[in-house]
Amino acid sequence: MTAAVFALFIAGSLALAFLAQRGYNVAQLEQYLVAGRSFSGFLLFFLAVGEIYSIGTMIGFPGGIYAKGVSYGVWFLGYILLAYAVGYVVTPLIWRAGRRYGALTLPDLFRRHFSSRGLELVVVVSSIVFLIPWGELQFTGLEVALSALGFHLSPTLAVGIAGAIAFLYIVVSGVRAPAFVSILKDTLMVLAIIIVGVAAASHVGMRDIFALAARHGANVTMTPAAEVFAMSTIFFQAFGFYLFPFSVQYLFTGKSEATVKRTQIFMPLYMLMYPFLVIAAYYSLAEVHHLKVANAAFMVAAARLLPPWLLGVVAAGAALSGLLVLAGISLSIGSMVPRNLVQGLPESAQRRWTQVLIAVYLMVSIVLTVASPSLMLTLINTAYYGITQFFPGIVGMLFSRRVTSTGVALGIVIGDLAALTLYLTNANLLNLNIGLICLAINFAVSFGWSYLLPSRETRVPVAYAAD
Amino acid sequence: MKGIRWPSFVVGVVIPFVGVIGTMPLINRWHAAVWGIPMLFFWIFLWFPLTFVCLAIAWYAFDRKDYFTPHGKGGMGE
Repeated sequence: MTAAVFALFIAGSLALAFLAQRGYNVAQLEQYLVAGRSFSGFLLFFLAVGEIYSIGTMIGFPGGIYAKGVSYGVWFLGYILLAYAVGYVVTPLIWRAGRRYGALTLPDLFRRHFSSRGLELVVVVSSIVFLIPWGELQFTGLEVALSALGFHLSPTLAVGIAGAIAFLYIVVSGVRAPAFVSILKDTLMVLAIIIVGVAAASHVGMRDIFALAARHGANVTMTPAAEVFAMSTIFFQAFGFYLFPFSVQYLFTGKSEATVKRTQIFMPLYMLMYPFLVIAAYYSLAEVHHLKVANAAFMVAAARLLPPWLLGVVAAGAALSGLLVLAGISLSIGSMVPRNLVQGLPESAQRRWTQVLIAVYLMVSIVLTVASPSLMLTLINTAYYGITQFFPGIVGMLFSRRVTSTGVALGIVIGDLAALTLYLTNANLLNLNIGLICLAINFAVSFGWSYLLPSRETRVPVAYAAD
Repeated sequence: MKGIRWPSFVVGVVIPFVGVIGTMPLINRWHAAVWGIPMLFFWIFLWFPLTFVCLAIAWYAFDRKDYFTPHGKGGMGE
Protein backbone atom coordinates (compact mmCIF):
# COMPACT_ATOMS: atom_id res chain seq x y z
CA MET A 1 0.00 0.00 0.00
CA THR A 2 2.75 2.41 0.99
CA ALA A 3 4.69 1.63 -2.18
CA ALA A 4 1.59 1.85 -4.43
CA VAL A 5 0.68 5.34 -3.18
CA PHE A 6 4.31 6.36 -3.52
CA ALA A 7 4.53 5.12 -7.13
CA LEU A 8 1.24 6.84 -8.02
CA PHE A 9 2.52 10.25 -6.90
CA ILE A 10 5.89 9.87 -8.62
CA ALA A 11 4.17 8.87 -11.88
CA GLY A 12 1.76 11.80 -11.52
CA SER A 13 4.62 14.24 -11.13
CA LEU A 14 6.29 12.89 -14.27
CA ALA A 15 3.05 13.44 -16.20
CA LEU A 16 2.92 16.99 -14.86
CA ALA A 17 6.51 17.58 -15.95
CA PHE A 18 5.57 16.40 -19.43
CA LEU A 19 2.51 18.67 -19.61
CA ALA A 20 4.54 21.67 -18.42
CA GLN A 21 6.46 21.92 -21.69
CA ARG A 22 3.47 21.95 -24.04
CA GLY A 23 2.95 25.21 -25.88
CA TYR A 24 6.50 26.42 -25.33
CA ASN A 25 9.45 26.00 -27.60
CA VAL A 26 11.84 24.47 -25.09
CA ALA A 27 14.33 23.75 -27.84
CA GLN A 28 15.22 27.45 -27.75
CA LEU A 29 17.99 27.90 -25.20
CA GLU A 30 16.72 31.01 -23.39
CA GLN A 31 13.25 29.46 -23.13
CA TYR A 32 14.67 26.16 -21.90
CA LEU A 33 16.95 27.64 -19.26
CA VAL A 34 15.30 30.78 -17.93
CA ALA A 35 11.79 30.48 -19.43
CA GLY A 36 12.31 33.68 -21.45
CA ARG A 37 12.61 35.66 -18.16
CA SER A 38 8.81 35.57 -17.94
CA PHE A 39 7.86 34.09 -14.57
CA SER A 40 5.47 35.96 -12.29
CA GLY A 41 6.05 36.32 -8.57
CA PHE A 42 3.77 33.34 -7.95
CA LEU A 43 5.70 30.88 -10.13
CA LEU A 44 9.02 32.33 -9.03
CA PHE A 45 8.02 31.78 -5.39
CA PHE A 46 7.25 28.11 -6.00
CA LEU A 47 10.33 27.60 -8.13
CA ALA A 48 12.47 29.12 -5.38
CA VAL A 49 10.89 27.28 -2.46
CA GLY A 50 10.90 24.08 -4.51
CA GLU A 51 14.65 24.36 -4.70
CA ILE A 52 15.24 25.70 -1.18
CA TYR A 53 13.15 23.22 0.76
CA SER A 54 14.86 20.17 -0.60
CA ILE A 55 14.96 16.78 1.01
CA GLY A 56 17.47 18.38 3.40
CA THR A 57 14.52 20.05 5.14
CA MET A 58 12.13 17.15 5.53
CA ILE A 59 14.63 14.35 6.20
CA GLY A 60 17.94 16.10 6.96
CA PHE A 61 16.75 18.70 9.47
CA PRO A 62 15.05 16.31 11.96
CA GLY A 63 18.00 13.94 11.50
CA GLY A 64 20.43 16.72 12.40
CA ILE A 65 18.50 17.54 15.57
CA TYR A 66 18.35 13.84 16.42
CA ALA A 67 22.12 13.45 16.05
CA LYS A 68 23.46 16.79 17.32
CA GLY A 69 20.68 18.44 19.29
CA VAL A 70 19.38 21.96 19.42
CA SER A 71 22.40 23.74 17.91
CA TYR A 72 21.96 22.02 14.53
CA GLY A 73 18.27 22.89 14.50
CA VAL A 74 19.06 26.50 15.30
CA TRP A 75 21.75 27.07 12.68
CA PHE A 76 19.64 25.41 10.02
CA LEU A 77 16.64 27.67 10.68
CA GLY A 78 18.74 30.78 11.30
CA TYR A 79 20.76 30.74 8.09
CA ILE A 80 17.75 30.20 5.84
CA LEU A 81 15.79 32.96 7.56
CA LEU A 82 18.62 35.50 7.36
CA ALA A 83 19.35 34.50 3.78
CA TYR A 84 15.99 36.07 2.87
CA ALA A 85 17.11 39.36 4.45
CA VAL A 86 20.36 39.18 2.46
CA GLY A 87 18.39 38.10 -0.61
CA TYR A 88 16.06 41.07 -0.36
CA VAL A 89 19.08 43.31 -1.01
CA VAL A 90 21.21 41.12 -3.27
CA THR A 91 18.85 39.10 -5.50
CA PRO A 92 17.30 42.07 -7.37
CA LEU A 93 20.82 43.29 -8.14
CA ILE A 94 21.87 39.86 -9.39
CA TRP A 95 18.76 39.84 -11.60
CA ARG A 96 19.75 43.29 -12.90
CA ALA A 97 23.29 42.06 -13.63
CA GLY A 98 21.78 39.07 -15.45
CA ARG A 99 19.72 41.29 -17.72
CA ARG A 100 22.55 43.74 -18.28
CA TYR A 101 24.89 40.98 -19.45
CA GLY A 102 22.30 38.72 -21.07
CA ALA A 103 23.48 36.04 -18.64
CA LEU A 104 21.89 32.60 -18.39
CA THR A 105 24.31 31.11 -15.83
CA LEU A 106 26.41 32.19 -12.84
CA PRO A 107 29.77 31.93 -14.68
CA ASP A 108 28.25 34.08 -17.50
CA LEU A 109 27.97 36.94 -14.99
CA PHE A 110 31.62 36.68 -13.97
CA ARG A 111 32.93 36.35 -17.53
CA ARG A 112 31.00 39.31 -18.87
CA HIS A 113 31.40 41.72 -15.96
CA PHE A 114 35.11 41.06 -15.45
CA SER A 115 35.81 40.23 -19.14
CA SER A 116 37.82 37.22 -18.09
CA ARG A 117 37.76 33.70 -19.47
CA GLY A 118 40.07 32.50 -16.67
CA LEU A 119 37.71 33.69 -13.95
CA GLU A 120 34.82 32.05 -15.78
CA LEU A 121 36.67 28.73 -15.69
CA VAL A 122 37.44 29.08 -11.97
CA VAL A 123 33.77 29.73 -11.25
CA VAL A 124 32.41 26.89 -13.38
CA VAL A 125 34.86 24.30 -12.04
CA SER A 126 34.39 25.18 -8.37
CA SER A 127 30.60 25.34 -8.92
CA ILE A 128 30.50 21.77 -10.16
CA VAL A 129 32.88 20.48 -7.46
CA PHE A 130 30.88 21.98 -4.59
CA LEU A 131 27.58 20.81 -6.05
CA ILE A 132 28.73 17.25 -5.35
CA PRO A 133 27.92 17.37 -1.59
CA TRP A 134 24.56 18.88 -2.54
CA GLY A 135 23.92 15.88 -4.77
CA GLU A 136 25.01 13.52 -1.98
CA LEU A 137 22.53 15.31 0.28
CA GLN A 138 19.66 14.51 -2.10
CA PHE A 139 20.71 10.89 -2.67
CA THR A 140 21.16 10.27 1.06
CA GLY A 141 17.64 11.57 1.67
CA LEU A 142 16.18 9.58 -1.21
CA GLU A 143 17.77 6.45 0.19
CA VAL A 144 16.01 7.11 3.51
CA ALA A 145 12.66 7.78 1.78
CA LEU A 146 12.84 4.67 -0.42
CA SER A 147 13.90 2.49 2.53
CA ALA A 148 10.66 3.43 4.29
CA LEU A 149 8.64 1.70 1.55
CA GLY A 150 9.45 -1.70 3.00
CA PHE A 151 11.29 -3.38 0.13
CA HIS A 152 14.66 -3.75 1.86
CA LEU A 153 16.42 -2.23 -1.12
CA SER A 154 20.19 -2.17 -0.99
CA PRO A 155 21.49 1.39 -0.67
CA THR A 156 23.14 1.15 -4.08
CA LEU A 157 19.91 0.08 -5.76
CA ALA A 158 17.88 2.74 -3.95
CA VAL A 159 20.13 5.60 -5.05
CA GLY A 160 20.40 4.09 -8.53
CA ILE A 161 16.61 4.18 -8.97
CA ALA A 162 16.57 7.74 -7.66
CA GLY A 163 19.19 8.79 -10.21
CA ALA A 164 17.21 7.26 -13.06
CA ILE A 165 13.96 9.07 -12.14
CA ALA A 166 15.78 12.39 -11.74
CA PHE A 167 17.30 11.98 -15.18
CA LEU A 168 13.84 11.42 -16.69
CA TYR A 169 12.62 14.77 -15.36
CA ILE A 170 15.34 16.78 -17.04
CA VAL A 171 15.02 15.00 -20.34
CA VAL A 172 11.31 15.78 -20.37
CA SER A 173 11.11 19.55 -20.08
CA GLY A 174 13.80 21.89 -18.82
CA VAL A 175 13.13 24.58 -16.26
CA ARG A 176 9.36 24.60 -16.65
CA ALA A 177 9.14 21.11 -15.20
CA PRO A 178 10.66 22.00 -11.82
CA ALA A 179 8.40 25.08 -11.54
CA PHE A 180 5.18 23.13 -12.06
CA VAL A 181 6.20 19.93 -10.33
CA SER A 182 7.32 21.96 -7.33
CA ILE A 183 3.72 23.07 -6.74
CA LEU A 184 2.73 19.39 -6.35
CA LYS A 185 5.85 18.66 -4.32
CA ASP A 186 5.35 21.59 -1.96
CA THR A 187 1.73 20.70 -1.34
CA LEU A 188 2.72 17.13 -0.51
CA MET A 189 5.70 18.16 1.56
CA VAL A 190 3.87 20.73 3.69
CA LEU A 191 0.95 18.34 4.21
CA ALA A 192 3.30 15.54 5.22
CA ILE A 193 5.20 17.73 7.66
CA ILE A 194 2.04 19.06 9.30
CA ILE A 195 0.46 15.60 9.52
CA VAL A 196 3.51 14.04 11.19
CA GLY A 197 3.98 17.01 13.53
CA VAL A 198 0.34 17.04 14.61
CA ALA A 199 0.26 13.26 14.99
CA ALA A 200 3.37 13.38 17.19
CA ALA A 201 2.01 16.22 19.33
CA SER A 202 -1.35 14.54 19.86
CA HIS A 203 0.20 11.14 20.48
CA VAL A 204 2.55 12.22 23.26
CA GLY A 205 1.36 15.73 24.13
CA MET A 206 3.21 18.88 23.17
CA ARG A 207 4.81 19.64 26.56
CA ASP A 208 5.68 16.03 27.20
CA ILE A 209 7.57 15.55 23.94
CA PHE A 210 10.33 17.99 24.88
CA ALA A 211 10.38 16.96 28.55
CA LEU A 212 10.55 13.28 27.63
CA ALA A 213 13.27 13.90 25.04
CA ALA A 214 15.27 15.86 27.63
CA ARG A 215 14.94 13.00 30.09
CA HIS A 216 16.42 10.70 27.45
CA GLY A 217 19.43 12.97 27.09
CA ALA A 218 18.37 15.38 24.32
CA ASN A 219 19.70 18.88 24.91
CA VAL A 220 17.55 22.01 24.80
CA THR A 221 20.37 24.56 25.21
CA MET A 222 23.76 24.80 23.48
CA THR A 223 27.25 24.34 24.90
CA PRO A 224 29.52 27.39 24.43
CA ALA A 225 31.33 25.58 21.59
CA ALA A 226 28.08 24.66 19.83
CA GLU A 227 26.87 28.23 20.25
CA VAL A 228 29.91 29.66 18.44
CA PHE A 229 29.49 27.11 15.67
CA ALA A 230 25.78 27.88 15.28
CA MET A 231 26.28 31.66 15.19
CA SER A 232 29.19 31.57 12.74
CA THR A 233 27.41 29.05 10.51
CA ILE A 234 24.24 31.15 10.33
CA PHE A 235 26.23 34.25 9.43
CA PHE A 236 28.42 32.49 6.86
CA GLN A 237 25.77 30.43 5.07
CA ALA A 238 23.23 33.27 4.85
CA PHE A 239 25.58 34.94 2.33
CA GLY A 240 26.02 31.82 0.20
CA PHE A 241 22.36 30.85 0.01
CA TYR A 242 21.56 32.56 -3.32
CA LEU A 243 24.90 31.79 -4.96
CA PHE A 244 24.23 28.19 -5.88
CA PRO A 245 24.40 28.09 -9.68
CA PHE A 246 20.84 26.75 -9.93
CA SER A 247 19.48 29.45 -7.58
CA VAL A 248 21.02 32.16 -9.74
CA GLN A 249 19.47 30.62 -12.84
CA TYR A 250 16.08 30.49 -11.14
CA LEU A 251 16.37 34.16 -10.21
CA PHE A 252 16.83 34.96 -13.88
CA THR A 253 13.38 33.50 -14.66
CA GLY A 254 11.74 36.44 -12.82
CA LYS A 255 10.02 38.90 -15.13
CA SER A 256 11.22 42.07 -13.41
CA GLU A 257 13.53 43.29 -10.68
CA ALA A 258 10.51 44.32 -8.59
CA THR A 259 9.05 40.80 -8.87
CA VAL A 260 12.29 39.32 -7.57
CA LYS A 261 12.52 41.78 -4.68
CA ARG A 262 8.91 41.43 -3.58
CA THR A 263 9.11 37.64 -3.72
CA GLN A 264 11.78 37.73 -0.99
CA ILE A 265 9.44 39.51 1.43
CA PHE A 266 7.10 36.55 1.66
CA MET A 267 9.74 33.84 1.93
CA PRO A 268 10.05 33.88 5.76
CA LEU A 269 6.36 33.00 6.14
CA TYR A 270 6.93 29.72 4.35
CA MET A 271 9.16 28.73 7.26
CA LEU A 272 6.15 28.46 9.57
CA MET A 273 6.12 24.73 8.74
CA TYR A 274 9.34 24.20 10.69
CA PRO A 275 7.80 24.00 14.19
CA PHE A 276 6.06 20.81 13.03
CA LEU A 277 9.40 19.33 11.99
CA VAL A 278 10.98 20.26 15.31
CA ILE A 279 8.13 18.45 17.07
CA ALA A 280 8.65 15.39 14.85
CA ALA A 281 12.40 15.40 15.60
CA TYR A 282 11.85 15.58 19.37
CA TYR A 283 9.19 12.87 19.10
CA SER A 284 11.89 10.57 17.70
CA LEU A 285 14.27 11.62 20.45
CA ALA A 286 11.61 10.88 23.06
CA GLU A 287 10.22 7.64 21.66
CA VAL A 288 12.83 6.00 19.43
CA HIS A 289 16.20 5.60 21.08
CA HIS A 290 19.51 4.54 19.59
CA LEU A 291 18.50 4.96 15.96
CA LYS A 292 21.34 3.54 13.87
CA VAL A 293 20.95 6.07 11.05
CA ALA A 294 20.13 9.50 12.52
CA ASN A 295 19.00 10.69 9.07
CA ALA A 296 16.03 8.33 9.32
CA ALA A 297 14.55 10.12 12.37
CA PHE A 298 11.67 11.73 10.46
CA MET A 299 10.66 8.67 8.43
CA VAL A 300 10.83 6.48 11.54
CA ALA A 301 8.51 8.89 13.34
CA ALA A 302 6.15 8.88 10.32
CA ALA A 303 6.16 5.08 10.14
CA ARG A 304 5.23 4.80 13.84
CA LEU A 305 2.48 7.41 13.70
CA LEU A 306 0.76 7.03 10.33
CA PRO A 307 -1.27 4.38 8.44
CA PRO A 308 0.60 2.75 5.50
CA TRP A 309 -1.09 4.76 2.70
CA LEU A 310 -0.29 8.04 4.43
CA LEU A 311 3.31 6.93 4.89
CA GLY A 312 3.36 6.51 1.10
CA VAL A 313 2.26 10.15 0.68
CA VAL A 314 4.96 11.31 3.09
CA ALA A 315 7.66 9.27 1.33
CA ALA A 316 6.52 10.64 -2.04
CA GLY A 317 6.71 14.22 -0.76
CA ALA A 318 10.22 13.62 0.52
CA ALA A 319 11.40 11.83 -2.63
CA LEU A 320 9.92 14.46 -4.96
CA SER A 321 11.79 17.22 -3.13
CA GLY A 322 15.07 15.35 -3.61
CA LEU A 323 14.33 14.51 -7.25
CA LEU A 324 13.44 18.09 -8.12
CA VAL A 325 16.69 19.40 -6.75
CA LEU A 326 18.70 16.75 -8.61
CA ALA A 327 16.88 17.75 -11.79
CA GLY A 328 17.66 21.40 -11.10
CA ILE A 329 21.35 20.70 -10.49
CA SER A 330 21.68 18.58 -13.62
CA LEU A 331 19.98 21.25 -15.68
CA SER A 332 22.34 23.82 -14.24
CA ILE A 333 25.44 21.74 -15.02
CA GLY A 334 23.92 21.01 -18.42
CA SER A 335 23.83 24.72 -19.19
CA MET A 336 27.19 25.65 -17.66
CA VAL A 337 29.21 22.98 -19.47
CA PRO A 338 28.49 24.06 -23.07
CA ARG A 339 28.31 27.80 -22.32
CA ASN A 340 31.17 28.20 -19.87
CA LEU A 341 33.43 25.16 -19.97
CA VAL A 342 33.77 23.80 -23.50
CA GLN A 343 32.48 26.66 -25.65
CA GLY A 344 34.11 26.90 -29.05
CA LEU A 345 33.96 23.17 -29.71
CA PRO A 346 31.66 21.85 -32.44
CA GLU A 347 28.09 21.44 -31.24
CA SER A 348 28.12 17.64 -31.28
CA ALA A 349 31.23 17.60 -29.07
CA GLN A 350 29.63 20.12 -26.70
CA ARG A 351 26.57 17.94 -26.37
CA ARG A 352 28.70 14.87 -25.68
CA TRP A 353 30.73 16.71 -23.02
CA THR A 354 27.56 17.90 -21.35
CA GLN A 355 25.98 14.47 -21.18
CA VAL A 356 29.21 12.89 -19.96
CA LEU A 357 29.74 15.49 -17.24
CA ILE A 358 26.16 15.27 -15.93
CA ALA A 359 26.52 11.49 -15.82
CA VAL A 360 29.91 11.76 -14.07
CA TYR A 361 28.46 14.26 -11.58
CA LEU A 362 25.55 11.98 -10.72
CA MET A 363 27.80 8.91 -10.51
CA VAL A 364 30.32 10.61 -8.20
CA SER A 365 27.48 11.79 -5.94
CA ILE A 366 25.98 8.29 -5.88
CA VAL A 367 29.30 6.58 -5.17
CA LEU A 368 30.15 8.99 -2.35
CA THR A 369 26.66 8.55 -0.88
CA VAL A 370 27.11 4.82 -0.71
CA ALA A 371 30.82 4.83 0.20
CA SER A 372 30.88 7.45 2.96
CA PRO A 373 27.44 7.91 4.56
CA SER A 374 27.22 11.31 6.24
CA LEU A 375 24.85 13.25 8.41
CA MET A 376 22.78 15.24 5.91
CA LEU A 377 23.27 18.59 7.65
CA THR A 378 27.05 18.07 7.53
CA LEU A 379 26.76 17.71 3.74
CA ILE A 380 25.00 21.10 3.69
CA ASN A 381 27.97 22.65 5.56
CA THR A 382 30.40 21.10 3.08
CA ALA A 383 28.62 22.51 0.01
CA TYR A 384 28.56 26.01 1.52
CA TYR A 385 32.33 25.98 2.23
CA GLY A 386 32.83 26.36 -1.51
CA ILE A 387 29.64 28.02 -2.80
CA THR A 388 29.88 31.02 -0.44
CA GLN A 389 33.36 31.79 -1.83
CA PHE A 390 31.60 33.44 -4.81
CA PHE A 391 30.30 36.18 -2.50
CA PRO A 392 33.32 38.54 -2.59
CA GLY A 393 33.25 38.46 -6.39
CA ILE A 394 29.52 39.25 -6.40
CA VAL A 395 30.10 42.16 -4.01
CA GLY A 396 32.82 43.41 -6.35
CA MET A 397 30.55 43.06 -9.37
CA LEU A 398 27.65 44.90 -7.74
CA PHE A 399 29.40 47.67 -5.80
CA SER A 400 33.08 48.14 -6.66
CA ARG A 401 34.92 49.92 -9.48
CA ARG A 402 38.29 48.63 -8.39
CA VAL A 403 37.98 44.86 -7.94
CA THR A 404 39.80 43.02 -10.71
CA SER A 405 39.27 39.63 -12.34
CA THR A 406 42.62 38.32 -11.07
CA GLY A 407 41.80 39.37 -7.52
CA VAL A 408 38.44 37.61 -7.60
CA ALA A 409 39.83 34.46 -9.21
CA LEU A 410 42.69 34.24 -6.69
CA GLY A 411 40.29 34.83 -3.82
CA ILE A 412 38.02 31.98 -4.93
CA VAL A 413 40.89 29.55 -5.54
CA ILE A 414 42.61 30.32 -2.22
CA GLY A 415 39.29 30.31 -0.33
CA ASP A 416 38.34 26.93 -1.82
CA LEU A 417 41.75 25.36 -1.18
CA ALA A 418 41.82 26.66 2.40
CA ALA A 419 38.33 25.26 3.00
CA LEU A 420 39.23 21.85 1.57
CA THR A 421 42.42 21.73 3.66
CA LEU A 422 40.68 22.66 6.90
CA TYR A 423 37.82 20.26 6.12
CA LEU A 424 40.02 17.27 5.27
CA THR A 425 42.29 17.80 8.29
CA ASN A 426 39.29 18.19 10.62
CA ALA A 427 40.73 21.45 11.88
CA ASN A 428 38.96 23.29 14.68
CA LEU A 429 39.62 27.02 14.88
CA LEU A 430 37.87 28.46 17.95
CA ASN A 431 34.80 26.36 17.05
CA LEU A 432 34.06 28.73 14.18
CA ASN A 433 32.58 27.46 10.94
CA ILE A 434 35.73 26.94 8.84
CA GLY A 435 33.98 28.38 5.77
CA LEU A 436 33.69 31.75 7.51
CA ILE A 437 37.45 31.87 8.09
CA CYS A 438 38.06 31.03 4.43
CA LEU A 439 35.57 33.70 3.35
CA ALA A 440 37.55 36.28 5.34
CA ILE A 441 40.77 35.14 3.63
CA ASN A 442 38.99 35.29 0.27
CA PHE A 443 37.81 38.89 0.86
CA ALA A 444 41.31 39.93 1.93
CA VAL A 445 42.88 38.34 -1.16
CA SER A 446 40.28 39.62 -3.67
CA PHE A 447 40.22 43.20 -2.46
CA GLY A 448 43.87 43.33 -1.35
CA TRP A 449 45.16 42.13 -4.72
CA SER A 450 42.84 44.48 -6.61
CA TYR A 451 43.92 47.55 -4.65
CA LEU A 452 47.65 46.72 -4.70
CA LEU A 453 47.68 45.87 -8.41
CA PRO A 454 44.86 47.94 -9.91
CA SER A 455 43.86 47.34 -13.50
CA ARG A 456 43.89 50.23 -15.95
CA GLU A 457 40.30 49.87 -17.03
CA THR A 458 37.57 50.62 -14.51
CA ARG A 459 34.32 48.69 -14.55
CA VAL A 460 30.96 50.21 -13.77
CA PRO A 461 29.47 48.32 -10.80
CA VAL A 462 26.02 46.91 -11.52
CA ALA A 463 24.28 48.72 -8.65
CA TYR A 464 25.38 52.14 -9.90
CA ALA A 465 25.21 51.62 -13.67
CA ALA A 466 23.16 54.16 -15.57
CA ASP A 467 21.37 51.79 -17.95
CA MET B 1 20.03 54.32 -10.45
CA LYS B 2 19.94 53.15 -6.89
CA GLY B 3 22.26 50.81 -5.05
CA ILE B 4 21.33 50.27 -1.43
CA ARG B 5 19.12 52.58 0.60
CA TRP B 6 20.56 52.67 4.11
CA PRO B 7 17.31 52.98 6.13
CA SER B 8 15.98 49.98 4.21
CA PHE B 9 19.21 48.09 4.90
CA VAL B 10 18.96 48.72 8.63
CA VAL B 11 15.33 47.63 8.87
CA GLY B 12 15.50 44.72 6.43
CA VAL B 13 18.94 43.27 7.18
CA VAL B 14 20.59 44.63 10.34
CA ILE B 15 17.57 44.19 12.62
CA PRO B 16 16.91 40.53 11.68
CA PHE B 17 20.65 39.72 11.98
CA VAL B 18 20.83 41.24 15.45
CA GLY B 19 17.55 39.59 16.42
CA VAL B 20 18.66 36.11 15.36
CA ILE B 21 22.47 36.01 15.80
CA GLY B 22 23.17 38.92 18.14
CA THR B 23 20.75 37.82 20.84
CA MET B 24 21.64 34.14 20.66
CA PRO B 25 24.05 34.03 23.66
CA LEU B 26 21.37 35.67 25.81
CA ILE B 27 18.57 33.37 24.67
CA ASN B 28 20.81 30.35 25.20
CA ARG B 29 21.23 31.32 28.87
CA TRP B 30 17.51 31.80 29.36
CA HIS B 31 16.34 28.39 30.54
CA ALA B 32 12.68 28.70 29.72
CA ALA B 33 10.08 27.07 27.52
CA VAL B 34 6.88 28.31 25.87
CA TRP B 35 4.15 25.64 25.56
CA GLY B 36 6.93 23.15 26.15
CA ILE B 37 9.01 24.50 23.24
CA PRO B 38 12.61 25.25 24.31
CA MET B 39 13.33 29.00 24.27
CA LEU B 40 15.98 28.82 21.51
CA PHE B 41 13.47 27.30 19.12
CA PHE B 42 10.63 29.53 20.21
CA TRP B 43 12.75 32.65 19.71
CA ILE B 44 13.74 31.72 16.18
CA PHE B 45 10.12 30.77 15.31
CA LEU B 46 9.15 34.25 16.50
CA TRP B 47 11.59 35.76 13.99
CA PHE B 48 9.84 34.13 11.02
CA PRO B 49 6.92 36.59 11.11
CA LEU B 50 9.13 39.38 12.49
CA THR B 51 11.53 39.11 9.53
CA PHE B 52 8.55 39.22 7.18
CA VAL B 53 7.40 42.42 8.91
CA CYS B 54 10.90 43.95 8.67
CA LEU B 55 11.12 43.22 4.93
CA ALA B 56 7.59 44.50 4.32
CA ILE B 57 8.44 47.76 6.09
CA ALA B 58 11.67 48.07 4.09
CA TRP B 59 9.69 47.63 0.86
CA TYR B 60 6.67 49.82 1.54
CA ALA B 61 8.47 52.59 3.44
CA PHE B 62 11.70 52.89 1.47
CA ASP B 63 12.22 50.79 -1.65
CA ARG B 64 8.86 50.65 -3.40
CA LYS B 65 9.06 54.20 -4.71
CA ASP B 66 12.23 53.34 -6.66
CA TYR B 67 10.34 50.72 -8.61
CA PHE B 68 6.90 52.26 -9.02
CA THR B 69 6.45 55.99 -9.52
CA PRO B 70 3.13 57.55 -8.43
CA HIS B 71 2.01 58.17 -12.02
CA GLY B 72 2.96 54.72 -13.21
CA LYS B 73 5.80 55.83 -15.47
CA GLY B 74 9.51 55.24 -15.19
CA GLY B 75 10.67 52.94 -12.42
CA MET B 76 11.59 49.35 -12.92
CA GLY B 77 8.32 47.59 -12.10
CA GLU B 78 6.37 45.30 -14.35
